[in-house]
Amino acid sequence: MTETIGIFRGSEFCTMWINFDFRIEQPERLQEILRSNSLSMYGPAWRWHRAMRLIRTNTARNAHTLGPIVWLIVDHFQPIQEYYRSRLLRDRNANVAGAVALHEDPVMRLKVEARILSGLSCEEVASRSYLDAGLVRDYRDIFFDVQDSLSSTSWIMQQIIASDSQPPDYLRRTLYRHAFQGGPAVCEHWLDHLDRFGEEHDLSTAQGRAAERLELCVLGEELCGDTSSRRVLAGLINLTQPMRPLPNTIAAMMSRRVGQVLLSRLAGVVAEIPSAKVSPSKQDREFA
Amino acid sequence: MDFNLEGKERMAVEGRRETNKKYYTKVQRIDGRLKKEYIGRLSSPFVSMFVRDERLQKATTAARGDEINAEMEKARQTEAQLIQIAQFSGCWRVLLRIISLPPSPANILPMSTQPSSELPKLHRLTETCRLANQGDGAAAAKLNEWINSAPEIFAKATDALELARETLVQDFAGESPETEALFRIKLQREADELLDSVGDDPLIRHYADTMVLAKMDLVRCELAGLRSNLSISVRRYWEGALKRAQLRWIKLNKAFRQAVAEQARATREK
Repeated sequence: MTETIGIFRGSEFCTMWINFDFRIEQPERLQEILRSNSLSMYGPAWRWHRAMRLIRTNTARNAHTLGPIVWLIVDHFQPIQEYYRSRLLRDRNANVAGAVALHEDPVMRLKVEARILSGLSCEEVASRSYLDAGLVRDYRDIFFDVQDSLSSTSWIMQQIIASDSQPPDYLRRTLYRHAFQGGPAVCEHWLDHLDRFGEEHDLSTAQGRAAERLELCVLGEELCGDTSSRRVLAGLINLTQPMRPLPNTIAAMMSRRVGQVLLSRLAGVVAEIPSAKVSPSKQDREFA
Repeated sequence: MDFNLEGKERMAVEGRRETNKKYYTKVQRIDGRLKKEYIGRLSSPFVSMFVRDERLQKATTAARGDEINAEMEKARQTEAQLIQIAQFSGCWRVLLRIISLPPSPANILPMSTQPSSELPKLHRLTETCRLANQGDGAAAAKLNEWINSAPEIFAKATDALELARETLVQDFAGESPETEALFRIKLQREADELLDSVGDDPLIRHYADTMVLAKMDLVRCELAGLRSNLSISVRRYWEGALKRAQLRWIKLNKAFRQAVAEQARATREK
């Protein structure tokens, strides 16, 4: 069934050709296929790109499989006629204007996306970034749909390295890679020092040294573009390494050791959980 | 990012004949000889990164050195606390004996005006007890004075022990809460192990706590001295501290064994 829906573009009224095909069995399955295809084609902001394409071409096939968020974005730019709203938006509500504003604020965008990549849930990201949880969820749906795909490591790394800006944003690339591979603690360490980037750091303070070290990470990322420069850089960095490792304070030695032991024990506990689940059931069976 | 390094720091920058370009070099001492290494052209971003990295490395080394010196200074200042708790072990047996004395004579004998600040040696206490039992008034007064001063001395020792424990916990754990919690549990468990064979008496528990602290101090000094690449003065300090800690621990160990024997004897007599 092909229809035209009315869309208000500014003051003029124009139409969009759309096609609803309700004979399709399992529309959820189709939605999932569409999502994974779009993710590989457009990246994490696939809903945004889909919506922009809809607006550009004025044509939508299988309109109901695109999901309400895409139509919400379309509706934000070109209000959809009331009759079709309920069929396309399905009671979903999203703060598209807020998400767009967040996307245009470079620092907030870095913080939110890095935290999402580090594996935090939307609520935690919101509380750490002092934002509304709903806004973070909308932002994730519209611009950064990676939370379900965090286990596909190579796809994520490819998305991080594939930068949409020219010249490439090395800070973003380094920060995202560290956040993704290091988890929330590493991510927070970066974000703590992010505001001081580009300033002259006072190397006599621990804060200044940490910021300088992170900045050098970004600089290294920028410089090791090809194999030969990577080799030069490795040679130079080897030269700066001290001949002898620095001694540590007692408290630092103890804390590091305790941290290692705790982590390994925790890993052991996690590995033991399946066997622990099995053993009581066995006992229960014997008891029965 | 800032690539301009002009005027930031005096560097080993050289010119070459027939060109205006500047080059950066690094002088290192290898096997006792100074060796100059060519790094690269000053305008290259690699050299800029190298210089920044080198500066950061230097700053880190200096800061670590300061931390280690501060740690040593703190240990030097707080050693007095450990000496104090070790000194108190001299009157452990006397305190046990005084507390086990029958309380009845203290009520009859006149109260002394000011308690003495020091407890006697064991043989003098025994002698005084014997004299007081025979009816010597002066000896009885002296005995009463010691009995009155015992609680105050014990309170002082408890305070000193608490102080020393907090210092040691701070030295071991720094700002890591999980290490602090684990360390406190460790102290508690070690003291419980010592008390396993002996009954749980407040005095004996205090002695066991002191023993455990002395042992942990020994561990700390040993750990501190084992670190590689320390400067000579720091290493020398920790070696000396280790020796002193060993002596303290031996002394406390002996005093603890004697106190336990004294306690066992008192229980038998009862």
